[in-house]
Amino acid sequence: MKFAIRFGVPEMQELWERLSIDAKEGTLSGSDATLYKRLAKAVLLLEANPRYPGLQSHEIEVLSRRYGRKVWQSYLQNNTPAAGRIFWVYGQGQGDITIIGVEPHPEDATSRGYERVELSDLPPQEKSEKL
Amino acid sequence: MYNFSLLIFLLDCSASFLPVLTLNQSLCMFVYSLWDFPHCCQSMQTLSEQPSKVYQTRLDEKKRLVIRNPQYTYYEVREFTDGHIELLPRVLASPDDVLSARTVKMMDTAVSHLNQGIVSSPVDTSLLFSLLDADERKEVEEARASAKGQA
Repeated sequence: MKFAIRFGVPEMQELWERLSIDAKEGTLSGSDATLYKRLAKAVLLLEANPRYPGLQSHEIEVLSRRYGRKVWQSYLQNNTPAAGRIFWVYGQGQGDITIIGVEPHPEDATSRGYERVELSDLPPQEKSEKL
Repeated sequence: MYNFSLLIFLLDCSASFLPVLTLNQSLCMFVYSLWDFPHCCQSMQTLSEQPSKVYQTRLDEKKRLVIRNPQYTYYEVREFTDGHIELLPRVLASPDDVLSARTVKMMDTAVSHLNQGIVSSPVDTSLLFSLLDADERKEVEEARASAKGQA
């Protein structure tokens, strides 16, 4: 089954459009060119098979809980999470995949000391109740 | 934002006299921001109502407080101007769970729009293949073949 890949609105869509236009015009900067190429490869792999081992797709439970639907993470480079990760969900329609986010965020690369959110959870409930 | 205390230390000294809390487990190295989830916090709320242990303690010579028989290794420490201190148990976040605040905001908006049925049109992937080098093309072809195998 071939999936249709969509982007979340507005930021992912705008990012992809900007990168695509810059690529056509040949004005992509070094880091943007790398990101565009990695995203392009990830899009092609997701389209073909979201469970392809090279993507290392796995559910991120804290995000699934946050959004009330399963959120998956895939690596932009084989076995190298530091090279970038994308977050995606199935939908909106059957056979659709929507990429909702990318990490690191493109603006983080240009800003110093950017804020990070650590999704630290409280300890398991049954353990807490002993206190 | 939920704010549920697990342990509250009330000391017989003024707030200005309190040093920074340092515990045996090097707490300050592992202070995590709280991202609240209702399923967790409901139990925490009930905990704060009736403490299971109450005891007096004092700072030792190195200005440390001892927690007796602690259940957890990591805590978030919250100090208040009136002198009381709260400790909230924490677990280490997986590297997968550490995200840029901008990425989280980006996803919040995208999912909100997705729930309203607003997403981009499908990506035209016909031109993307040409961007890849030989190894990457091979990988994409492998993925396509593996999808056919799974089907």
